[in-house]
Amino acid sequence: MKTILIVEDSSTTRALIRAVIDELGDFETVEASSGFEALKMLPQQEYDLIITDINMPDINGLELINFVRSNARYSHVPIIIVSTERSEEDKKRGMALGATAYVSKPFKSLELQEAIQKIIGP
Amino acid sequence: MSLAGRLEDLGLADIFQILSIGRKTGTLTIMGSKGSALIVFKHGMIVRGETDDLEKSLADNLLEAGLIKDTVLHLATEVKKELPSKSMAEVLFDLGAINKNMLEQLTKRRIENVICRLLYWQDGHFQFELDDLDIADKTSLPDLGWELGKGLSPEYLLMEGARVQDESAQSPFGPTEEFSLEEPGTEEGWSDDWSQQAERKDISSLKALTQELRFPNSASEITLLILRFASDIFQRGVLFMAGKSEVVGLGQFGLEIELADEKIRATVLHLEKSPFLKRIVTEQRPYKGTVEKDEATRYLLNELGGNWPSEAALFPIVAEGQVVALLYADNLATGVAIAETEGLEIFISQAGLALEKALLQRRIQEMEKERDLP
Repeated sequence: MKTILIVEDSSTTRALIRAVIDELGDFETVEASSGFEALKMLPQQEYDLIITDINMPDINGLELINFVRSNARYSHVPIIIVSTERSEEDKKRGMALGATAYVSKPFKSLELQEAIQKIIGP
Repeated sequence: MSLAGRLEDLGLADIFQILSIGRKTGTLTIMGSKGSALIVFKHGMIVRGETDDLEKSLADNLLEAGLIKDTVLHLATEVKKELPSKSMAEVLFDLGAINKNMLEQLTKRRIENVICRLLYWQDGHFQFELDDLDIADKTSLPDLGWELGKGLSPEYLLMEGARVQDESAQSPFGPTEEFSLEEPGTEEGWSDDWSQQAERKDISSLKALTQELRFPNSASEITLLILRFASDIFQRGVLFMAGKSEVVGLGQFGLEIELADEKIRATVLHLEKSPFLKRIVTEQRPYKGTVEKDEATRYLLNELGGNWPSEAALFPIVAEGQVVALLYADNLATGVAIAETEGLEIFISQAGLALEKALLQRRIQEMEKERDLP
């Protein structure tokens, strides 16, 4: 079973993303409530996909992406950014840092599901 | 806001990397079985570092280096008793017993020593207080040293610490706390002896690091070993990850530019804009000589500080028949000729094989996972 790490400081959005993934079935989800918590969780197991917000209070999503991409141990893991439409600049920076895809908040379930399936398959 | 955890879960290298990447400002404290440590970050650079795991204080170092007399130290000790919030270095500076340049030089060496010592710590609780530079109440360390005007790169300190660890592992006496203000380049005859020294380094580094290459924990460890080896025989260098049409900065050593690590990670060289680099990548053979001028090499050397070296060396790292990384190195600072590099070439060839092994192991793990699926 493939494992997805959800990094999002809003518990509501985390629950929403988890529900969207659960609908797809056959994916295990692990949640981190901040970039820093994600950092500590990265060495604990292998992840097939990371879904991250950008605006988080300690280590933000862009810093997390930069860390993941510059660390050969994790650099192969695809990353989907889920962030607000307003942060166009963040989107550009995130993609430049090596994010695999970007989904704007508020998102439709299907939109995120398609992005996940496109990257790590059904 | 604080970020806290255990060194057992998140190593010092990862903590440094994320604080450096995020250009964080704040105070990192570590409490472990070997002692306490305090490291202050400003915009991702380390400006202060102290630990009680070093036998000697900064004042002892100043005394040993002959920069202060014991009578001055005694006087400063008495003054410090009256001003407990000040560090000994600050008291000595306020008394006019030592100038800022000397303090900065010695503090740089001391911070290198502190980080080297911390790399031996296997356990401990760490806490990073974001945007909080009030160090007075955060630690029970007897002295908090001196704050550098210009911080040190965490990546450089980790690499230097690993190099010292490696050398001390080969020495029966273990790591030392020797302090001197003499730079290697200021020693008489150093320039003349450079080539010969580098030749010896070439082989000694090969012997030392090949062993480590046999059991790497990750691909990043392999790339770090390449940079460590290269830093033994070159004055500066940059390692790039190589893609089909571009190479992207991964790490560096010896660059004397602002935000060097950040700048390198943001450097992308497009191979179609550089017949020179493209030829090296296509031929998959090391190159030593002048750097041919084209759009990409001009951009690269501009990013590295603007000066054009009389010669440079480039080493493609090949895994599974493809160039996966490219090392650039030169001796711009002194302009001395590039020494023999056969040892590095052999090491890079072995590093390529180690990378292949790491990739194969990953694939086997993935296949085993798939096989175990119900």
